[in-house]
Amino acid sequence: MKKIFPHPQRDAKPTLWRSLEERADTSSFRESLGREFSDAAAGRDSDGLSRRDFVRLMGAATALTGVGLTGCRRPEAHLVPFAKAAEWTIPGKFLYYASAMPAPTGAIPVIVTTSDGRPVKIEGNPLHPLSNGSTDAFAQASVLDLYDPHRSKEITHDSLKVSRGDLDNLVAKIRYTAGTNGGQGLAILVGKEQSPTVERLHAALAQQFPKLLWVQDEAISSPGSFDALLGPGARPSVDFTKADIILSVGADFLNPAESGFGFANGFAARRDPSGKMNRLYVAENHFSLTGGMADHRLRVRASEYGDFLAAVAAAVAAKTGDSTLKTLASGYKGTGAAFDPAWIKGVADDLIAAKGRGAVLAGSQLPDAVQALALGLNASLGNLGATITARQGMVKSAAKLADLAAAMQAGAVQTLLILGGNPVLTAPPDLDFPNLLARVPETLHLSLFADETSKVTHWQVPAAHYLESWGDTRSLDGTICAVQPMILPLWNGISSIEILAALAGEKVDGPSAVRATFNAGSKDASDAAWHSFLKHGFAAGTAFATAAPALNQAAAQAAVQSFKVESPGEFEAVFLRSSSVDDGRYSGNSWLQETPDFVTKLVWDNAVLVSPADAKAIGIHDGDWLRLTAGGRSVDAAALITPGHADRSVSIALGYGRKGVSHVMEKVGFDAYPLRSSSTICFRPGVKVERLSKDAYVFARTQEHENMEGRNIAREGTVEQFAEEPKFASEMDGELAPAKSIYPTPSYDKGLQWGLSIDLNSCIGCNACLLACRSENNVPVVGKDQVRKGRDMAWIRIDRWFASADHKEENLEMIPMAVMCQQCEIAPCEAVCPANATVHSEEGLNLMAYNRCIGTRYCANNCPWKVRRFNWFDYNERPLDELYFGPLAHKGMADSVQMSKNPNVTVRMRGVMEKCTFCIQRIEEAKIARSVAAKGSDVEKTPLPAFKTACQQACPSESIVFGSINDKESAVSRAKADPRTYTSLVHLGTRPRVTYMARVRNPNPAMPGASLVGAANRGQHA
Amino acid sequence: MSASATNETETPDLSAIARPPQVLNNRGPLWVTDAVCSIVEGKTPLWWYAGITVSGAFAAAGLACILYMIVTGVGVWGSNSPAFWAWDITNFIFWVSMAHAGSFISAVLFLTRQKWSLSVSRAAEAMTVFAIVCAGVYPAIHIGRVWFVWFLFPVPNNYGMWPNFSSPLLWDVFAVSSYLTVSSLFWFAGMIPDLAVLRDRATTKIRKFCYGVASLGWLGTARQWRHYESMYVLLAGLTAVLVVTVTTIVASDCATSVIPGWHATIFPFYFMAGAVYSGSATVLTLLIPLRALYPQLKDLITPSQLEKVAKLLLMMGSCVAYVYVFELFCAWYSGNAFERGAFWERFHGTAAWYAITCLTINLTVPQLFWFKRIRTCLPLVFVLAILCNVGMWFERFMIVTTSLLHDFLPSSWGNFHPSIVDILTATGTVGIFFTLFLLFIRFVPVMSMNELKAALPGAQPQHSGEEH
Amino acid sequence: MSNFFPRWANWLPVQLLVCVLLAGAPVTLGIWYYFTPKYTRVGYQPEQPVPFSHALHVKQLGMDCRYCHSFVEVSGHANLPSTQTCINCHGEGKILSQSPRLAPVRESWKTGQPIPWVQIHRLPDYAYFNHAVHVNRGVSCYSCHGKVNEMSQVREAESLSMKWCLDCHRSPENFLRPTSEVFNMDWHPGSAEKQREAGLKLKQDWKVNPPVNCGGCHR
Repeated sequence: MKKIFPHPQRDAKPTLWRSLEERADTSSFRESLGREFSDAAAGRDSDGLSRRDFVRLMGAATALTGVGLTGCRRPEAHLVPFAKAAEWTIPGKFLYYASAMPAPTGAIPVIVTTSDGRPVKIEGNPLHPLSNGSTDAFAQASVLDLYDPHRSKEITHDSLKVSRGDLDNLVAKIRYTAGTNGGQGLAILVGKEQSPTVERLHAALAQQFPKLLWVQDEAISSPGSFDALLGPGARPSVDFTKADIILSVGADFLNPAESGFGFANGFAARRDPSGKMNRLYVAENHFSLTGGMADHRLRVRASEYGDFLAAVAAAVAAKTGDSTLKTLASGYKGTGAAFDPAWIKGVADDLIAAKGRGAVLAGSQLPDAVQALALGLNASLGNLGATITARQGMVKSAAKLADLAAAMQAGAVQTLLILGGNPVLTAPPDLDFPNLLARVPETLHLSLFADETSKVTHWQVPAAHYLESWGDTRSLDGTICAVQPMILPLWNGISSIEILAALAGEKVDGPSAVRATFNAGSKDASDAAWHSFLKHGFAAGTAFATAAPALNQAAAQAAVQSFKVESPGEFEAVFLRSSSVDDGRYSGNSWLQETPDFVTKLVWDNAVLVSPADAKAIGIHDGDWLRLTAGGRSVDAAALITPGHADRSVSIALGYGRKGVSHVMEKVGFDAYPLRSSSTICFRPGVKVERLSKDAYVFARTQEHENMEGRNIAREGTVEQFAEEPKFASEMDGELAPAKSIYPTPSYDKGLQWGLSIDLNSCIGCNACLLACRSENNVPVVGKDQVRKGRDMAWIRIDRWFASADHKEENLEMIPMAVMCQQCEIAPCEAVCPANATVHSEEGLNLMAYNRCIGTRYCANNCPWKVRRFNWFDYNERPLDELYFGPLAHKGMADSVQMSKNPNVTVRMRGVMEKCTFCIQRIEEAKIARSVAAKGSDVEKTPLPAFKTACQQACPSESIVFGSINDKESAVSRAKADPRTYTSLVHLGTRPRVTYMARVRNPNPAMPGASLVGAANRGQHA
Repeated sequence: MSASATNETETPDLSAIARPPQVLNNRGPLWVTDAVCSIVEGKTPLWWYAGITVSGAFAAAGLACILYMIVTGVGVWGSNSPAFWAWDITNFIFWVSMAHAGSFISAVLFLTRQKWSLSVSRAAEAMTVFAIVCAGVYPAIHIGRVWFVWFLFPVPNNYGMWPNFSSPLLWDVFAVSSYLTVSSLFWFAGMIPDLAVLRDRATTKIRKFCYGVASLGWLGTARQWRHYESMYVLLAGLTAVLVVTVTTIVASDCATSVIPGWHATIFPFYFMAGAVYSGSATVLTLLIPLRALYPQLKDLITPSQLEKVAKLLLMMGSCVAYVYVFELFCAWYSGNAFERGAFWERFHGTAAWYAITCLTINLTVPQLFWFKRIRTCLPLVFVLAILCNVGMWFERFMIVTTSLLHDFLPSSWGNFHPSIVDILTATGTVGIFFTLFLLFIRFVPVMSMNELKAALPGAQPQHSGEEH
Repeated sequence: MSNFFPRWANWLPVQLLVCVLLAGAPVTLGIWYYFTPKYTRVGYQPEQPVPFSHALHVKQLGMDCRYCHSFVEVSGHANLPSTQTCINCHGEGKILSQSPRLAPVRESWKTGQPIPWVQIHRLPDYAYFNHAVHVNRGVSCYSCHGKVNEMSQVREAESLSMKWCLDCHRSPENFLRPTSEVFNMDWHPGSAEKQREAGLKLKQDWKVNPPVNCGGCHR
């Protein structure tokens, strides 16, 4: 479809979205809210306000089986048109608005699909300079956050419901007192999302109330800053399209949540073996997305990252005779850990050989000393200015949480407004934040959920979701993006901008505050400029200036010299950013909770990740309990043995084990925050690990078996292999040549023939496709217990294979492989369905007619890829904790959750099979659009509107290509023509329409174990 | 045959090669009638009440579970992905196979003039019918949306849609239902003359009326006999054919799929062998106690007959053993990593103990019947027969579910744990089976009097049905 | 027989037959009722909140379908007119501005609350019908809704059963008409043969190839 970006109604009345639905029912939304509030748990509240769900099909079904009374058969339903038509809105047609999702590591520019005024889907904004139209998993899932019935809905003061007026009075009072005493005792805590408007308001406030304490911090954030090393406000940024040799030390730059959005595509662009392929060295303590892509990977304890970099620096200096680097390296007094000299030499030589074409990265959360070493290396290798530039960002004069705590300790804070974050949960325990907070006379917390902090503060104010509020935010490159409301706040949410503006004495009316910033910031402040800003979702040319970074060697030396490393002790604990709940801000989102961890494939839980060697040493198996003790605090958590993890080191994801906020978070994982201290934010040395004799904890994992068992499922080779035999992947079919049918088989060569190709070489396994599919296709969440039983519903699953040619930890490789319905031309599932519920279309699609399915499950048995999903229970209509209650369970889905559903996809009822159909709703929509355009003319001469499948659209590395394979010019045809292309399980002769492009690694022959790289299938031919 | 029978009485020197008599102690026709009818006419023994209470309780529990399953969802079972089929289809195949043996024993042995099966056949047929009832439960209820089961039948409808005739499941529907019809007809037809006898001996009005209706006014005139026997032979022929075809169709549920461990051309034979094996085991399990509980049957159900059934069990057990070995050989010989993997995992994977139990029993127990001493020691035979049935149940699970648990992509391998509902439903079908069987021995003659009498020494030749 | 059965038993077969018939009849009726188009809602003609007459507006005043159902050519839904649309003609000081029969319309216009029209043509939720693609490709309103222009009160004209849809999707030539005549409720090809000829030509020229697989309507 063609995208149009009109700006939304400013004076939008609730009716705009409330009675829009030209469908059968119209229960007033307000009532439903009342009910929702009364009984939040498990969304047990619906009078069956049904959109495209099966409720009425069930009605029909009962009528079929039962006695056919006319009443049952023909219930009177009503159609309710608008009283006054709403601009832009055509009932039943999608509208697309450009917006942006703020994030601490840089906003994600998005296009929001709204159906009848309800945002239902998030896509990337391809117009944005950083974006290729993709998103990350969190952006995809943010729709559900908007509609989450457990969001906080009322302003409360000392847990009494109060009105908006009371809040305004409070703000006015604060403003008045601050005006009198210059902001003495007033502190404001905000997150690290960069918003020009917030910055402007901060400036205004600072100017009005000079004594104001402005604190900006995040739960997981870098302890130091680059201000000293590269000059104030400067941030290093790597151009992966230019980098040939990359050394990453604990830097998970492919994970957007960790390092900001927009690196994956640049990196992927250089992974094409037919072009000049980059080489990636990774030293890390646990498998990360980046580690999975590595050509050479070394397991290094987090506390030894610095030692590793120092060693490399020393080796480089030794060879190049760079004395500054030499002193820098020798200045680093680390743990004295030793590394395989061959490894260090190999990396050093390779980096030197690629002077000016290499890049050395250190994890964003590592201390300045380690950053200094990395930058020192880059400076010495001439990478600064070549592959690494510096973005001249805002100069941050903000205090940190520790400063705030100190001020509170000193009793210097009378009024604290917490407009971002959840410090009571996330603050390092040594700050004793909860108690300090309790002592502050006037405290306010603005948040989506009434969470841990809200319970302590006097005021709890429901925050407006970014899809509900006006705002602006910066993406990683500094480009200013517009944040527009798609819908009026569902539960009277208020944005931080509104509060700050009120505090600064500004009158807020819709976008006025944002518009003011825009006018102040841009040369052209005309309405036209403003509208194009909203229409495109960003202001072109507002990116930070970039310059060749100049490393302040003196500062670097100082940082390294002053750095004192704690001895790592027997064990270190590394605190991970969860791939499902980030730092805990998404723990309420069931889509994300049920999204498997990149590496462990764990859902609804975190775990203490332990290396196999350590596990043997401690004598534990998966699920056994460990007690981690550090700084007098201890955490009991279940362990999960993780291949590729560094020894004498354990990792645990943050943001789990929360209690009493929403039932989604209950009994989910273990809280690791108590283990941190303000000096050890990202890892903590000297942790005591002891085994507890409790009976084992049962994890829910979507993949239990990670060994390919000698079957060439995910295929990989090396650059040399590819050079001498480009078709090495299809060669692996060996004697298992495609089976030939003795019967005549359909050819499928007319008109549109849909096919899909997945490039394993650029696929990083980031889960974005998985979430996009869940959101697009109304895939239900089934809960921990059901996943444990092996009943998860995800239409795309990302199989994560561990392979090692010599079965040694050292040479372990990780290969993610996305598997969805392969759309076999000769589909085993179709032949066996007795009801004809799954049949083939003339366009080569393996269709699934839910309403015809009776659920014999034979198709799923007969599916070699096991991609068919069965509705064992009424997952959409029954609370997940009452699945077994049968008719006694509460019925119906929360009205707000219903609003999040895609109206073009049937919501499946219990007892039916479901699976990927290449987003047939999008295919049909495109074909309909073409026919409509053709009118009274030859439709085949009319071009088909461009469209993508949900997974393809979300993929940051553009690994998924979809289109008609009958059109030889199409991208998918070209992808399938690539020599690396192979078909999985080709010997079955089912002729899948999904093909894979083998992964190619680029090992450095000089490295130890180079011969074992890219050898996942070595010697495993059938 | 009757010729040889007369010979026996006249020339004792041939007795060495003579076949053992079907009825011991030279009992006369009248005695046979009394013996068999006494079971129905005598007063109900206490053990019968006890038995029916227990089996009835199990049946009730099973039915309750089925109801719960239907209103709640298939999820109440332990089934999952990849084991989309588990105990449901396992039990279906278990029962339906058992059913085949009954018809095989009665129909095929009848057609091949195996007189020794006479006393066994009636019970075997009853077993067939009841087993199909138990089997039929599962295909009906195991589906996700039972209320749409009519999609399976080719009825004209306003969707303008037909079922998919290429699906083995659809063949199942037709096969099993026609098999139920024919085998119950065959069973009932065999009973008509005996029901007439009961009618004639009936003392109370009610009995007289019921048996009267049931025996369809049987007079036993020569004309009726001629029609009767031709009809009986025809039904026998039809049943015999169905035994083979239905097994084949049930086998094709697996054989037509692509799953390693399912996808094998040997399956029809595999299932047939397994069927007769489990069936004869069940016959022994049923008749040996029956014989013990009703002493008057000792002369009718003779040790030599039971020994023959044991021999049949031995033979079929050996066939099954052959298939096990052959399957493993093929897997190895195919050189196909997936085939090999499937069978490797079958004995090493998460559900290995099912396969191991199955093989341990089915490879050893029947082979014990090579020894005459074991074969003829009825209590031992009884125990071993039960063991065989257990072994067969495990075999069905091994075929259906263990194969599913370890198919092509190791990433989707899984495990299966039965839920309480699984278990109660399974025991429920056993309860149903025994409830029906107890009713059967109480209200209809447990063996075919007319055929037995025909087999007596000096019985009229034209009654032995040899002129066909 | 008499020596085994009482005399009345002679009637037993007959009685059995009667019982079977009595038991069988409801089953047969049930199947006949549910599994045939009779089960559908042909003829459903509910009372509407406002007695709007298509006969008057379309037949007599010659209004076009698209004046009220304005989005039928662009959207899947053929929208009902907003109250605004009615008010355009029936507003203050305009036609019948005081008529009691239009009270609900004025009420809605005042309060902003929509008029609850009773739904007549209703497809199951899992069937995705799209008006735009049909009316743009020569399928007339008439083909599904009947002669609405002659209905003073709208009733369901066709069964709208899946089989009924397929009849057209399998042989569209029997229904296709020139795009100019789609909204002309009175247009008639003359005879079935003429329709077939013309239809086949249109089908060829436009490459009309309606989906006959599940995916066309069920997603």
